[in-house]
Amino acid sequence: MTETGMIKLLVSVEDTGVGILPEAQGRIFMPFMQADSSTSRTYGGTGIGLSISERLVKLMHGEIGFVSETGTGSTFSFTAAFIRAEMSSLDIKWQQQNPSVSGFQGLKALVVDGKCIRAEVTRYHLERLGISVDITSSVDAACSYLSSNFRTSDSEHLAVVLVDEDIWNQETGVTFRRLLKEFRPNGCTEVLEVPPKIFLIATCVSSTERNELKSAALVDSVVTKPLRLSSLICCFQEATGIGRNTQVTTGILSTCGNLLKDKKILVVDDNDVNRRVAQGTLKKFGAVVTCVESGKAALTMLKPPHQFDACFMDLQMPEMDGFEATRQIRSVESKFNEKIDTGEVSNDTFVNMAHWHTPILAMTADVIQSTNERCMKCGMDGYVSKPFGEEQLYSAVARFFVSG
Amino acid sequence: MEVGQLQERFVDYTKSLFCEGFLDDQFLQLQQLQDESNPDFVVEVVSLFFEDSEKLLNDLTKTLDQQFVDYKRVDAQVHQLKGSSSSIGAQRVKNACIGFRNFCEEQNIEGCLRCLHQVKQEYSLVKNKLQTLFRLEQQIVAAGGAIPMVE
Repeated sequence: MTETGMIKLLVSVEDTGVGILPEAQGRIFMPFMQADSSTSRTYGGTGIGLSISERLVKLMHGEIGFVSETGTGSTFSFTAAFIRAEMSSLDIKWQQQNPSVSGFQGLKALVVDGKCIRAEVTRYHLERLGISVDITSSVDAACSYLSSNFRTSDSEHLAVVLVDEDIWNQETGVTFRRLLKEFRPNGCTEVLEVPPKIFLIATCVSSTERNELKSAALVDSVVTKPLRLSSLICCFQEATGIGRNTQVTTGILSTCGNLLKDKKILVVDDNDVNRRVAQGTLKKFGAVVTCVESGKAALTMLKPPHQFDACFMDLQMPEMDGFEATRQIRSVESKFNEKIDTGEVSNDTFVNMAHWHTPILAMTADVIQSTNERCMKCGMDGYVSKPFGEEQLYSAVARFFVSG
Repeated sequence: MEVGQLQERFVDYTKSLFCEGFLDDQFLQLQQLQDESNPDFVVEVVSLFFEDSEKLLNDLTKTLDQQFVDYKRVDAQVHQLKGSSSSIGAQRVKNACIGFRNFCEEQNIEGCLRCLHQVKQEYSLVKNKLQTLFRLEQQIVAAGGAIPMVE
């Protein structure tokens, strides 16, 4: 812990990828630079991930660096400073939202995976659900585990065997199936009525492959990597029948209240699909949405006096783009404000609006910083990148509307 | 076919669309925006997308067929298509548009024509997939079931 009471964390991410050539190591943090020209073709991306990360880390009062060896992989590390969290931490809240989770206590799972770090990650996910985990790193080890009538405590019950796709093949599947049918925990004489299930952990399985596997009864379910808590819960619920009827509810609506309720928002975009999606998202928060197609129309709608509480403006439109429209709107507003100041226009007709400044947020697919500067220069109040999800939209607009 | 099987098929099909990259998270966002006050939101927006895209693709074909190609116009149209495909989560169409814009900048006619072909293909594929998805939904509802939420 530092003197200011901040906690400094070191985060390291180790991979077993192709590594980064020494010649390229000097430039990978530069925007739009990738290790070499083939990177984009092979892996996609535009080369801004690391430069964004570097800036974020700097903003978080930290540093970022890496070690890499071609053919072995890379380890990226960064430091950042955090304040100590409150006792009412996320995990507790999360468990409160997921009553089904307590139903998994006492279950045991066997993870079969040759990569020990990956197996530990799987263990971590399962333990979060209250499931205890044993790991074996090979098919043979798993077979001896299963056939040795492994002693589990009376309170533990082997419910699932999770096998990573790297180790799995048809033969393995058949062997496990057979062993599990004969599995007798605690050296009992009788076989389990419901034998443990087999889950395959795989990155991508098409629905035909999935059906083939299931109909050959080789696996009971496929869990996709990277592991996600909600899909693990689903699989386990299906396999064990526990907590099937519980709805897992997430969502920002319940926690963030009604900040946008009944607020009048203007959406400006020349593309009708984008308009409809923006409208749908804002309506979800209870806003009253009006849509227009052009900068010119926006100018008409936002000429004071008007009823709008905020405006979402697309930047790239034909004829008059978002920048120009905003500039003109600000100009009209300032002229109107002058008139109020000089008494030329009475302000009590307009519910005490002594100073017109409609919050205007840019909607853009362009994440380059210069766009943000341009937005600010012409009088915009912020921006959201397209397409925006509920959370992004919400946090962009919330600061304009005081709660209560 | 009974409801349970239809629902399972629906879930599997939806998952495969995500797995194979046809759809991305944005499509999930759209589904979350659908509720009792907006019961047909997804179908509505996707239909708009189909209408829009077909116009754009026809226009693009004409523009690229001219003797003197107006690359600015091509770029503007591809930008539109990229925007709307991105808004509904049609990932592969969106990605095809990104490459397309690079060729526009270079004023490379062959590259543009190749990209147009690719975009048309991806559009056709995703249109097909989405229509199948909607049909499955209709079948479930007709059989008296509820449409399952897919993670």
